[in-house]
Amino acid sequence: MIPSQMLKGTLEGCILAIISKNETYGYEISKQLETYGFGEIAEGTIYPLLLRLEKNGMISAVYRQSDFGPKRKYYFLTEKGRGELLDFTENYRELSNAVEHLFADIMEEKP
Amino acid sequence: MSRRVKDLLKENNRMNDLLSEEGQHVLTDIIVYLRGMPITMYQQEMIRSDVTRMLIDGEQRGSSANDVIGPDYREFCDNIVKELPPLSVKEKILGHIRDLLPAMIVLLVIWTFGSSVRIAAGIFRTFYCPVTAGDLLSGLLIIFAAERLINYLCRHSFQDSHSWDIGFGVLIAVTLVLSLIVKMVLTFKLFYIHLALAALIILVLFLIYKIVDKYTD
Repeated sequence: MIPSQMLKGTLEGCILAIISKNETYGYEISKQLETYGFGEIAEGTIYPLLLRLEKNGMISAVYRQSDFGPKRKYYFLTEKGRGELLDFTENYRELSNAVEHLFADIMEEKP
Repeated sequence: MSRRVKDLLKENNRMNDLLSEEGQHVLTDIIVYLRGMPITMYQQEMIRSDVTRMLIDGEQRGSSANDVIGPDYREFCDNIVKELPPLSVKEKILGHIRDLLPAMIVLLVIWTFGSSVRIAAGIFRTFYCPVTAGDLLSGLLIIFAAERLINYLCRHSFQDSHSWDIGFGVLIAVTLVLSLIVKMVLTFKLFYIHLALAALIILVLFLIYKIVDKYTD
C-alpha cells in the first residue's frame, strides 16, 4: 500500500489525469485509482481534492441524472486543468527519471 | 437567509429522506460540525448537498457512511473547510450580527414581559421601566454562555455525549448562575426606558435581523 505522505504530492495530478479521460464523478475516480494500483482511496479523501481543483479552476462540475436517486455531480477538465495536467506530467517524469537514476546508481555501488 | 440558500436547504431536506437512519445520523453530525465552522450557510448547504449525494450513492451500492467518507468524519470536514475560501471581513461581521440579534431580541422580549408584569403588579408606577447594571451584565453573560455552548456542541458533534467535558459543563452552569446573581445584586439603575420604546426597539432589531439574514449567505 502506498503511504499517504507519498501520495499527497501526486494525487491531485492523477485525479486530473483520470478526469481528462472522461467526465466522471467522485466514486468512479476512486475506483479508477484503485484499478491503477493506488490502493483503496475513500471518496471522502477525493472530495476535498475535487473542491480544491474546482476552486482553482482546474475542473468544473455539472449535475446529471443517475440511475437511482438524486442527480450526480460530474466533473470535467477545463482548459486551465489541461495545462496543469501537462505541467504535472512533465514534472512527474522529471522526478521519476531523477529517482530512477539515483536508484540505478545505488544498485551499481552495492557489492 | 438568501433565496439560493433557502432553495438549497429545501432540496437538501428532501434528499435527506432518501438516506437510511445510519446515513441520516452521520449526516446530521457532519452538518452540526459544519454549522460551527467559519463558512457561510450557502457553503454549508453546498457541502451538505454533495455529501448527501455521496452517501445516497454509497447506500445504493451497499456501502456504509464509513466506507464512503472514511473512518474520521472530523478530519473529512476539516479537510473540506480548508479548501473553501475564507470569509471576508464583511461576511464575518454580518454573520455575527445575524447570529447575535435573535438572542438580543429574545432577552429584550423577556425583559419587556417582566417589566409589564411588574407594572401590572404595581411595582413600577409608570411605563418608564428601569434598566439596571444587572440587567445588562446578566444579558451579556447569558449570550456568552449560549454562544459557548453552541460552539462546544458543534465542535464535539462526533463525540459520544458520555465523553463530554465536565469542566465545560460546570463553566456554563456557573456562568448562568452568575447571570442570575448579578441581576439580583446589581440593582443600580443605568437609565429608564418607556415600554413602548422597548417594544419598538424589539421590532426594529427584528427587521434588521430579517434584512441581514436575507442578504447574507
